Amino acid sequence: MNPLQMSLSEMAEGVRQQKLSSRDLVEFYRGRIQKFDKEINSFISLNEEAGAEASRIDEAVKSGRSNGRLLGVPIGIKDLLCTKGLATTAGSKILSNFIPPYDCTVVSRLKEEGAIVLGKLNLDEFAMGSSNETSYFGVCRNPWNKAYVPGGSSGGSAAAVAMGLAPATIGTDTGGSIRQPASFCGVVGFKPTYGRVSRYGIVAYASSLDQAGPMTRSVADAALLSEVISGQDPLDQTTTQRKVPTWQSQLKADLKGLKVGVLKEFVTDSLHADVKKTVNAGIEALCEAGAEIVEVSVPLTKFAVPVYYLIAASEASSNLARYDGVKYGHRAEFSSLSGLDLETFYSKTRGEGFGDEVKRRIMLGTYCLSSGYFDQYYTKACQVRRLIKNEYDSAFAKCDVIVSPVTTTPAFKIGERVSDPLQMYMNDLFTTSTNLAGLPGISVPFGFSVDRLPIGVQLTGAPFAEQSLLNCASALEVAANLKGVVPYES
Amino acid sequence: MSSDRPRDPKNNSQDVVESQKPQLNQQLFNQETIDKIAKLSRLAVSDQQALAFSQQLAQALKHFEEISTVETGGIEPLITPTQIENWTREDVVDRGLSVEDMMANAPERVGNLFKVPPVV
Amino acid sequence: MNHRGYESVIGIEVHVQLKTVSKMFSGDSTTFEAEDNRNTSPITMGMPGTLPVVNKKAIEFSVKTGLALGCQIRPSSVFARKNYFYPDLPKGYQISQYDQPICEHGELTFTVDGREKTVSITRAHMEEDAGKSTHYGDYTLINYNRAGIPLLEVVSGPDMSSPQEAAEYGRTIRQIVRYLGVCDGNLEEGSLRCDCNVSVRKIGVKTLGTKVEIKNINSFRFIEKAIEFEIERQIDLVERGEKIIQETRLYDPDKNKTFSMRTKEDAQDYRYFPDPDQLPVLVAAEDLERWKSEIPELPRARCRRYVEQNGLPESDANVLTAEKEVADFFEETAKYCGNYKAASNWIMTEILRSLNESGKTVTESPVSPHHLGEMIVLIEKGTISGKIGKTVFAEMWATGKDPQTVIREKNLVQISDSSSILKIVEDVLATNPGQVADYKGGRTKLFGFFVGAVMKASKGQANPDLVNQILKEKLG
Repeated sequence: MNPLQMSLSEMAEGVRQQKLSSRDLVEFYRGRIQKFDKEINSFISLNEEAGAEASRIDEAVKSGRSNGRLLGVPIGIKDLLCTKGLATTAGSKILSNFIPPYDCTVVSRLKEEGAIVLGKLNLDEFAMGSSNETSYFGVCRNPWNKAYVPGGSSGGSAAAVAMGLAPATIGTDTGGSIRQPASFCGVVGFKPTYGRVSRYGIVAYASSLDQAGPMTRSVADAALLSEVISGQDPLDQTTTQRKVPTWQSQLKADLKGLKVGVLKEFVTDSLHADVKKTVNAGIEALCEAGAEIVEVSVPLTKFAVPVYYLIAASEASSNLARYDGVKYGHRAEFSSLSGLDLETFYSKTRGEGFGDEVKRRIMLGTYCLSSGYFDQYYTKACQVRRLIKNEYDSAFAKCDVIVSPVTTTPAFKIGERVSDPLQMYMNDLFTTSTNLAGLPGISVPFGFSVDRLPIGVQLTGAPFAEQSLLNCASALEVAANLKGVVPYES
Repeated sequence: MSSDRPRDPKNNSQDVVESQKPQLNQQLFNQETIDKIAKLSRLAVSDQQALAFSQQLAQALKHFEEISTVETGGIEPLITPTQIENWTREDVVDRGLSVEDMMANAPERVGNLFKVPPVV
Repeated sequence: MNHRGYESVIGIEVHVQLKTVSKMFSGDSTTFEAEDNRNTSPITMGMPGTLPVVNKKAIEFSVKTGLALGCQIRPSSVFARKNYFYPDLPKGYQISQYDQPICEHGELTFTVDGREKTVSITRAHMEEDAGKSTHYGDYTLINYNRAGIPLLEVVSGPDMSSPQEAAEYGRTIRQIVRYLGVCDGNLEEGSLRCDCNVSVRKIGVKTLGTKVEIKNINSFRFIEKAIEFEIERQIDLVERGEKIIQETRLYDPDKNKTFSMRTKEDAQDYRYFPDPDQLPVLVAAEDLERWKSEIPELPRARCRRYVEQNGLPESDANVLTAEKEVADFFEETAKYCGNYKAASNWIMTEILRSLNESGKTVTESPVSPHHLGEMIVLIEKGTISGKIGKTVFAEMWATGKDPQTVIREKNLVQISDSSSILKIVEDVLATNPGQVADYKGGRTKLFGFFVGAVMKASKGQANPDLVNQILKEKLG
């Protein structure tokens, strides 16, 4: 049995039936990481206990004591999620030495189902970026073409799945950070509705936008992982009390009775021809699967990027104030504390600890919240945010799922956009409005550019209507028929 | 330089001759604003960084200001995106972790207290 | 109030530490005595990704306090972040309430020098406390045990015009929160903290002068003194033509002076914005009704009732209602014996004095209201005299025994039977023939001598009324 061709359920079932061992699974992926990740740089650190943990699960299985939907399955975790006893860096120097004494709720839930943390994955520093180039631990490369970025911020999570370095990973999505790298790397990336997945223990970037989700080889795997990590958490007041449906078992690629809205605004001047072609093919596939296609409009999405950056930066400027060199994390070196001015202490520590992109966003956010500018930027952005949400509500009165591109272009070259933050920000044109409205969104691999870079199709759903979204994703997956199309020799 | 912005020690700003200093965008993020915001954010920013940031942020902000054209009179700002039910925590003590768990990451400590520069 | 042609304008912010067992946003304990950083968790420490979940008890206590202060309660209030850097602030922001506080528009009436004074309550908002810094010159050490403890900040209007009013306002707030059981009101331990904003202006001037904030005063007497000093200091400055600086000052009780804490170079920009980690705090109608019904009768109403319905002097009623537990003790005693005046007298004298001497609180009193009431009944029935009552009380206090037992064991029952007393009187008269002769000769002042001698012979147990009566008969 080739672990690269197995679903998560098959792996868990295999371990349960002792057809394969968790230990072997872990060693298999560790072997691949050792072999391929020097070039890709998708992992920041590996869990050195993973083998031992796997053996314990194998032992438990032998004595008939173990169960779990992810029994013995190794999972890669974006290094934004706190893992007890394992360094959690957020891709930043300022947390480069931080070892959390707690697991985030997502990781606790994975462990409760028998999953094993394989290692911690590369990302843009504090999830601020669209290319994984702002990581303190170096750029991560796109497995399809190593001169290209894997996307971001969950670049490591996407690249690792694409390269077969982990069966599945967890990413986080604040403005597209799951869906965009999934599209760039040719994997499934799913962000459930805001409020489905606990944010407890996930290093916060922008609290009202952040949401964790799975990055997988298949829609079914994404559905299963989402079921495991979703649900109310007493430690996160913004999680919903709604019951988590059994998404995986209810998956069906037959879309009869579903209405799919085509976002009128998706055709823009900046849209790459290959992206346009791929999305149009995706719309056709959805139609062939039985969906009725209707046109919908969310005109204010053209303001989504500004609204997103103003809100995200404002929240980030406050969320990142805790990194001050007092309780944990990096502290600048001072010959002596005696006579040291507190402001210098903070400024030097934070000045050294944060990279440029993080500094830019902290400063932008501080500016937006500062006296005299608050109403003009923060409040205004929150008002437009409501209008965007209202427009989505109207759109979802006409359809069940909206189809659109993920990004305007396929993956771009490493270094190409670093010096132009605004151009980088505009890359998030199609993904940010989903976060602003708190909607579920998914990127499904559907084609390739002429340069043989993957291109995904984005689906957006109404709040808490993940099943329709996943069913459409399933239909796209069937139509795309990309199973076995991988960037490595198989 | 009259600014009291904390300096990056590696960047010796005295070496920059006044006349050679590039002009910053005067409208949005000028030197004064960058200094003020960097101070408020407690970020040491070198002169080169300050210059780059002022240009990049001015450009971004100029673009972001497009939202001012959206009519939002009487619109309640949206803080949390989805309708989520309200619930609270009961007043119960939960002692999960040890003091050492809390202190283990401390950059500098005296016993079980965190050590910082003199505050007064 | 006129100070050298000036009047003072005083507003007070009281930080009420809410008596919950766990913190505002985490399950950490709130015990005052705890080893360094023991009462912390990743949440209190502001570790990455941790989130606040509000304590329902803190909301309940805040609403009850607001209701007791006549405030309107917002059905939906909002937690905001107040952003600033300080080592005692683990997250780099304090969770507080800003433009939508839970309580608003109340008022508080109290009595100063026999005059009624009403002060407006602008607002009362919930917030979390910061940690504690200890300074060692070359460095500072931080303990986060206090960080995250729930506070309710009660903000008055600038309505007070004398140090006495300010102190009385503070005392009244303390009394109310203790009645509600939401705060123990301990100024020394900091569970109640008063910041006083003081400014002066020439009488007749309408605009407010520059205000100065005085912080961390640990007794109401010192509040009075600090404000007194501050008013004089500000008037001196104005008289000399100098400017009053808007600043925070501390009070040094040893020198009886205020001194500048630090002058902030520029105004702080706290960048308040709604906390995106939390939803608005909703107060459901049924919770509000329940909490309303749980508010006890407050001291002012209780005091009025004692005066109007039970005929107590106002001064006594004030003393009895100062603490809810004393008032409860009083009412229980009075209910048992049916005599409010007697219950009041015994509590005002014996109980409060004994508590004071032993350093006990009324709930720790070895004499229960039931036993005290029983003793009062025994006095009224004539089983013991009032004087013997004091002996009985002392024994009850020392042993915790009920009065009947004490009287029986110590054989203190009053002798109220005439023949027994007659016998003692006859003995006394027989052993003092000289004095009897003198008395009959006109030295009537000796009557007291005979009473004393009879009481002494009866070990104080003879009914004094009967003694008087029988002596008069016998001496003619």
